[in-house]
Amino acid sequence: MSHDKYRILIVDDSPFSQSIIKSSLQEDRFQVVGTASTGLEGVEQFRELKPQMVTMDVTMPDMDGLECVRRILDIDPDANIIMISSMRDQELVGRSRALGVAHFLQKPFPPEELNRLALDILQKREQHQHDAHVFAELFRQALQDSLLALQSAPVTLSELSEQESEYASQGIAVVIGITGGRSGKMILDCAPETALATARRILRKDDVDDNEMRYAVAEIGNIIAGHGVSRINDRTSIGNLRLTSPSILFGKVGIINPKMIGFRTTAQTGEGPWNLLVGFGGVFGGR
Amino acid sequence: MDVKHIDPFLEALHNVLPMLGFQQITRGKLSVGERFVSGKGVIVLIGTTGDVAGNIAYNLTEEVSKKIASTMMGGMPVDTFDALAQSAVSELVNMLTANAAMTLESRQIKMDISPPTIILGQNSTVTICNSRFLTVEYVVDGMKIDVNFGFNQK
Repeated sequence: MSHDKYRILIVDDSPFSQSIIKSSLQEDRFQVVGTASTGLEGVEQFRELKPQMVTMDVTMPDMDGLECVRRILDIDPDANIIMISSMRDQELVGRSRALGVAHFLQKPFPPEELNRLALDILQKREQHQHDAHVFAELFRQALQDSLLALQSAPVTLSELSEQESEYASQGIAVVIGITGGRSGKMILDCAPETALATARRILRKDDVDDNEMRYAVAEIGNIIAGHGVSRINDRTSIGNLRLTSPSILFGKVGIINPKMIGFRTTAQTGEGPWNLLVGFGGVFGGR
Repeated sequence: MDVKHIDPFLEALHNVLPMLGFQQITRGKLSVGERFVSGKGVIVLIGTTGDVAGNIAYNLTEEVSKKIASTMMGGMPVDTFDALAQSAVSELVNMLTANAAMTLESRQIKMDISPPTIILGQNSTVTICNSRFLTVEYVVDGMKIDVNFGFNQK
């Protein structure tokens, strides 16, 4: 059954602390796959063992724990890390948060506290990954229905694929934030000529100016997001999701969604392709 | 756009930045924008819903973004605006907005926030609301940051 256990790496220069951390983790839920006494060992073991979670001491002989965290995040930006330290000053918490580490335990801690925190982080992440995929699929259906109604012609949608945190815009993008029980965002992106041709057809006129085009794309984004969120609200008990008003981006920009579990689908229309990106998480501790 | 809704965001800069190692936080001039925000290189965009609904865009150069990330990480050198630096800057905007949300809540004003989006590129323009928006210039340890508030008229 060992493959079902969460794999943990302990980075701590004190053998005493290592054994306390080890003994506070439920044996039937966790497997300690490695213990490292220096930052360098920690980075090496992380690379080799690919643990699902790391406990990190803040002060070590060769480097400070935050430097070790930085190198681990270079290997895997989504690594789950709990900082364990006898200090808990504002500066340390601030620097950890800057690196994207949300979880702190101050020594000494009750054993069940570490166990609970670690389980909570790992189970939440699994749940969020699962939900993000389900939600993205509901958005994909919303895109299909909305485009069909707007186009009155069939559209072909690609299957969902995982989206990296960085995306290169085709020229026009609408960003709509999602708040509530799960926060996230939807991005609808196309080339200017696609937007222009679509706006012309919907508005039934030839001379469409830049502003009209922007607002047409924003409105299409609003419709899709509205449908997507309604579907999620109808089918899940997450709590009502709400939408922010759209932002409209113009230019060949890079769009970056840090710490986001994101998916993408492409719709081929007569006017050109539209990309839809849907992601959840991305908030502090949200992954 | 209600000034009492903007204030908590400005207070947040003065509350949060000193905790992250920034020393000098100076508010500059206010102006009203008509159409869109023109990107200086890096725009961090965050949306809100509730009693205060709209978008906020932090507009800064890539050079300033790298310096901010470096300060936040306790002075670690940041040579390129890479994933780690991007995540730090996005986390900063998260912290600022969450701080403003707490202040608003203490005044019985509800606001939820969505995750930040970073927009990279020199010649970008971003429409953040369908009416006029407010720009507040800030100088943080000699670095220029424009904060643009696009809250929709209720």
